[in-house]
Amino acid sequence: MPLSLSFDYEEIAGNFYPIIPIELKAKGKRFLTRAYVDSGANFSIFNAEIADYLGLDYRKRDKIYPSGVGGHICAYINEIFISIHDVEIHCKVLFSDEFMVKFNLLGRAGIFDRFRVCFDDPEKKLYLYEKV
Amino acid sequence: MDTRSISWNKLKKYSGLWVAVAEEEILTSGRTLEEVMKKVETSGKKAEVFQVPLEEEVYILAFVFEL
Repeated sequence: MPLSLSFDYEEIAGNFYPIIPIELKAKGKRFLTRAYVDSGANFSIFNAEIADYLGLDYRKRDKIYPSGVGGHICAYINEIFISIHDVEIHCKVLFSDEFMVKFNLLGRAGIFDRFRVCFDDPEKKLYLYEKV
Repeated sequence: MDTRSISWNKLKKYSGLWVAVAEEEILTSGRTLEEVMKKVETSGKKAEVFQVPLEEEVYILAFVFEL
């Protein structure tokens, strides 16, 4: 039976954001963290310290220069597994040591293919419905 | 499934740092992920580890990544 997940938005300094727990897996290592679900981001992006912890030689992968409101940064495309609850997803993600925002961003690639995603801002809830 | 986690009131004094949260409490914190993970692994606890944003940082969450 497909999963239906709901997450309360998290409060940060009086504002509420769709931040959810996720687990990253690569090379036999696991990293439990949380990420801001960003429907405007093509790719998930993580601080390069996480790649180091997972034992990824992330700089050997393809380099790209994604753009955001803060301008361009250098990032590297790597493939890892992301788990949301019991759903494990093989994803292309970006690692960057120039990503200064202290949020993990969970973008569309891999994630939005696997779930229907509903942002309920009035109720401050995020719903993920697993696609089968 | 509903999930709940630690409140901003508990987190805000760690702004800018990596923190490890276990059972809705701060297990440890530090300037680098490496030092935090060493303490987490020593504790034997399962912890959620992340960076705590600065208050002003939440207003720049309008990133649109395009390739």
